[in-house]
Amino acid sequence: MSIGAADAKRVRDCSVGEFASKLISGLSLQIGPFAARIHANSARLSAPLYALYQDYPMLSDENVFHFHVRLDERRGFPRVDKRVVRFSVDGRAPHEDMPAAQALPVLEWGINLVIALRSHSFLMLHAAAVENGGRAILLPAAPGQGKTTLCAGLSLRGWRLLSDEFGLIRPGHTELIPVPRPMALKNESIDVIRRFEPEAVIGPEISNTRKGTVAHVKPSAQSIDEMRQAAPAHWIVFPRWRHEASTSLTEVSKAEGFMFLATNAFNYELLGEAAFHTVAGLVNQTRCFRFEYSDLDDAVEMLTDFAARDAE
Amino acid sequence: MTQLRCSQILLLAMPSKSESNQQLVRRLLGIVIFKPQDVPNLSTRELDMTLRLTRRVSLLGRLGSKLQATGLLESLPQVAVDQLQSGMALAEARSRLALWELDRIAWAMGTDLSTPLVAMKGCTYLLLGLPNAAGRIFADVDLMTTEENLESVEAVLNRKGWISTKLTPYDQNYYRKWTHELPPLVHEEREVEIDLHHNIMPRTARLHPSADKLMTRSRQLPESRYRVLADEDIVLHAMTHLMFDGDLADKLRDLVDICDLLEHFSGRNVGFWQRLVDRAEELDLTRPAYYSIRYACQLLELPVPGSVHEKAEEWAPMRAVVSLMDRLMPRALYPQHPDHPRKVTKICRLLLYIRSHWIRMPPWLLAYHLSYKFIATRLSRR
Amino acid sequence: MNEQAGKEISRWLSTGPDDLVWAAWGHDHIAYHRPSGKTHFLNASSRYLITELLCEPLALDEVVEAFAPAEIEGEQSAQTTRLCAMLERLEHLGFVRQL
Repeated sequence: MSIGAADAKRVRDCSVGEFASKLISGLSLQIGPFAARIHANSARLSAPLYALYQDYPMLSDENVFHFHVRLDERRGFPRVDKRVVRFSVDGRAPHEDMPAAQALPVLEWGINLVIALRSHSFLMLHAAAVENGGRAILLPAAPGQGKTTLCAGLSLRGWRLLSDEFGLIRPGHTELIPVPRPMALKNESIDVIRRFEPEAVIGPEISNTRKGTVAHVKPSAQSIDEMRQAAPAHWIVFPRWRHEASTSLTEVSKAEGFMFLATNAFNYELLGEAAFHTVAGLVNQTRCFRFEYSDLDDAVEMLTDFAARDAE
Repeated sequence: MTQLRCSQILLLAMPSKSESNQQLVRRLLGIVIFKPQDVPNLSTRELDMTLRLTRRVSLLGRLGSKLQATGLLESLPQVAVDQLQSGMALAEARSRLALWELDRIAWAMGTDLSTPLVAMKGCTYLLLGLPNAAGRIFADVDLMTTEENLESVEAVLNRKGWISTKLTPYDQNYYRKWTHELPPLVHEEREVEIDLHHNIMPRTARLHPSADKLMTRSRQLPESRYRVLADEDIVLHAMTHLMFDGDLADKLRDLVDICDLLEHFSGRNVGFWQRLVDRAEELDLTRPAYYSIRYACQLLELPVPGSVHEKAEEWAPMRAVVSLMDRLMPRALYPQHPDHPRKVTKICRLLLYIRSHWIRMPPWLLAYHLSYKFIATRLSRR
Repeated sequence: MNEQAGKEISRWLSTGPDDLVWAAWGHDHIAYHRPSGKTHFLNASSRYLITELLCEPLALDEVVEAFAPAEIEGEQSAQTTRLCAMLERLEHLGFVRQL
């Protein structure tokens, strides 16, 4: 059951046809610390999923999994001319059916939902995280603050992607556990990243979702290869994109850092005292900053330079 | 007599092909409930399925705490440990919330014990430290007071920051006028719902245990604002709640609770079974007691004294009804196989769902309530 | 609530030293309250009040005197009102109680 070793079979070792069959009969993948089992009968998914997940290690179907998810494409009801997709976990659908064209983001958001609902052996911060030279930046933010765009930018400029959504930490520890996933960019951010890095592998643009137009950036092969390597956080940076703002990095108090982390977590309150001690430990070993930016190139450059200087 | 015709249809409609899935579900959950020490010996596939099923019936926390207590948790693969720890963390968080809510209510109500507050169901198990409290997922806080005190208790809680949750006029009216209950309360700074009752069944229900008798036998907990029901009433409440007060789907956990309570109380007190039997008759709760004992024996192999079995048989309904319930009950209580759900199980559950409403309210009110809810749900989806 | 002629004067007391776990950076104090599972951002004065002053039951007057004696004539009543509000809020959160 151990994975992540360089010799594990990857999705790219299958043909697209084999992959499509596996999706229907059940695909077993390692995603960070999670053993995932995915069934999807929607033919439109095989090519984009293959492209986005090609570097992920595959697991034996004979396994204990963290979750079993299913995406079924079917006729709608009562509008039978409209096809829909239903996301379900262990036979239960957590939300209503969505238009079939949105199969990819529905599956991706669904996996995030399942992780958020049942992974309380971890403290889950609502944060992106990237690592370079053995040191990680944690980027906690409320939705809409540009965290994923900034995270994608950093990951395309030499930073290893740990996560774009979940800052995972085992209670009582301070290392960030990687859970690299395709990064969901929304609306204008898609073009921003295309201009920033024309070579970036980006999945199809899906419009009219509940978050507008969405496209996913493939995580680098390196971030998948190293997904079993946790990294200590050295800096906590609270990003905020603001129109035409100049790039600025301002240190804030540890107490402010603590409160912001605690209020931007999926399960801080649920984990109780263990979460309190974990966040206190995290804040004690890091410096905390507010970060405002409008230009992605400037932002990535400033953070990279700062990290290089501060590490000395 | 609609039930009879359905039973005939169902008996014909039950093929044997998928029995192996049902048998697997019951075997694995049997291990979880009775022999958790065997969980580390399960095959990989079985362990994976066991975790999925255990989560569905809200027993992950219970399983996790039993394995942890016997030092077996670490012998499982990390994937399993993650999920069991997650289940335990959830259970612990909910217990903490429930206990804190009880603390705040006690603070709000003050120390004058003339307004009695009886903690019910999960809160009882917590306050008494009963064995089934460990790893249990608590939902709401259930409290009982006398009918005369209901409104004044609500008023005190309103003054201290609790507000009514059901805000549509229909729902408010439904609660106050038809069930003579209060809509659930919730504090504006927290999320735990409080159900405040004056009896263990709503007024419109077909069973009418005497609230006075329940209150008279309740006892004050030392150094606490709260009372608890008498031991046999705690059990009868659990039985009535499971069998007569709600949807039975996936409610295996509630039957496990009843078994745990019966074993605990009868183990401490030789006269307990007799007291339970006598009290069931006194409160006219023999039907839920009959079903609970029957299915606790049939499905969970609860040891029950022969004399109790004999007595319980006197409480049975018509043979045809028992036969039908024997078919329906396991299909409702046990979860479906997560990958191979069966339509017939959905039908069984629908029948029991209708039954649960049927016995909570008179037919005309049932029809009105179900149609309102059906239309309201459709409208809100648009 | 408090001092009325002929009535019993209520006293304030911390609910329990073990109920709170603290982290502090400079003047900022963060407390985790075990019974409620809630985390609170407090200042040094509140911490002093909860962990030092109210280890023994004190009446409101005594709290005002020990915690923030008025330096200017006439400020006493404003101080009392402020402290009273603070104590009520702490009581609401479960950190202190009235005897």
